[in-house]
Amino acid sequence: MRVRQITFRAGTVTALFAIVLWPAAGQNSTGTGSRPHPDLSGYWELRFDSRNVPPASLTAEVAAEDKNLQYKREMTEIRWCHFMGVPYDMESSPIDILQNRNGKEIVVTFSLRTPARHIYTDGRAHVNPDIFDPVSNGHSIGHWEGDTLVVDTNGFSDEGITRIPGGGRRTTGSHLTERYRLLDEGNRLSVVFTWEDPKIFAQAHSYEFRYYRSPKGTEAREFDCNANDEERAKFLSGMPGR
Amino acid sequence: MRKLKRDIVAAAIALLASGAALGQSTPKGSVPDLSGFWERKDDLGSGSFGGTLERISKAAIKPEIMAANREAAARQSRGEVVSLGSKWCLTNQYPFFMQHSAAWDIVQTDSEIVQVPEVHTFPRHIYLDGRQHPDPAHVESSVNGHAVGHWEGDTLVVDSIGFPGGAGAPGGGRVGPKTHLVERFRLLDGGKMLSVTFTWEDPAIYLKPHTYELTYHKSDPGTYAFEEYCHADDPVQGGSVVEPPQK
Repeated sequence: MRVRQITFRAGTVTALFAIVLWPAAGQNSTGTGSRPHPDLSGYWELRFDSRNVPPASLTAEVAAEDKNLQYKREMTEIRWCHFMGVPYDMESSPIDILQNRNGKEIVVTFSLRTPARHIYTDGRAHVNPDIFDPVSNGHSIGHWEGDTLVVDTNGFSDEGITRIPGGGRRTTGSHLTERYRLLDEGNRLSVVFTWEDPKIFAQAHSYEFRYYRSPKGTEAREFDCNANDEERAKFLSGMPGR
Repeated sequence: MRKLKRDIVAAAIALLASGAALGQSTPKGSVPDLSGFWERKDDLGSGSFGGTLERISKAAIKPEIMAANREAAARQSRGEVVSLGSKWCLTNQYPFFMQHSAAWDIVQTDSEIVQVPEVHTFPRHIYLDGRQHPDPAHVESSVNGHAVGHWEGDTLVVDSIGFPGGAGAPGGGRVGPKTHLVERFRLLDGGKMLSVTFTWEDPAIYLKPHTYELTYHKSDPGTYAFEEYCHADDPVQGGSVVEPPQK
């Protein structure tokens, strides 16, 4: 009887330790094993066959604009190392997507000297535009529709490289919806971009990028920018070939 | 009695296994969640660079580095410009954003942690997938260095090399191309605060490892990132620093 009692105590001690220790370990755990959504994390790159970009249907005013003005404006932005912003940074390669373990945020980083994108997936709404200072990446919130991450972005500034693949440009009135979906057992990532802006587009403009997953061990690079580099400034500001 | 011994041994093995799970071999999913926005708050004035940093003990640095620091301070006190970084909006090198009052964001996955600062620099990537540093002889320097991390219990240990050189470290230290940095990230106060202990080593700069701790406060839920832009072509920005006469 006594032996049985002690055995019971030993088992109880074990159980108590298990109860005390494992929850302590799990307290800060984000439970990745039970994550209900696909994991988009990783490095993704564009290749020659990654873009399906039809021409945009532009408003008459924008279609009639002098394209040289947009070109000069972009060269000025690059020459002075301004932030580039969406959608240009999504055309850089590779991009690094980090899907936070707690499910509250996704970040996309770039090798360009431009801010990372923060996509808030914690259920928050957009910041009141009356108090939000527009930025080159805008303000992004996301939610899941099945296996698809849907990202809604507004609050854009007109800073940076504003041209949109297929035609048109980002303005402070632009609205972007993106749909991210894994393909090919997670080896490819489809992103469908849809831009709306009544000043720019006659109808919503959609295009799709299909990124390839980068090889394991891929690392971020830093393509720095020095506005004080005179040779670089001459190259970007001068006539080609001179 | 033999059964009692057997049960006690079994219990001890189970306890050891539980303990091991909390030790160096912390399994995936059980590590602390460092994610979120973190910010420095100086009790000697929010955002003041003369606050927390003033309390950091002076680094034991080589005489020639000390002399260079003194010379730069003297030039500065004479009104000379010792850096044109802000005039030209040059990229801030590590560890600048860790000392800045602007918040920075940690995003955490099982294989990588990224620190995303608001100040104009690159995100810092910390690889947790077991990879090693590149050969130091061939490492491509970057403003945040090359960083690999691992967990020791509830502490994230980050090892960095590959800095470009030219940056400063609190306490009068400097960051050179061969500088080695070890940091230990640990949550405090139930996750409301984050402690980061920095240890800098470089025989070309320091006489002994230079260690100090900075603490950060978790930002409120709903905090969102700004983009701290810097326009070198803005006359106000460009005029913020007057270049010294050229010799």
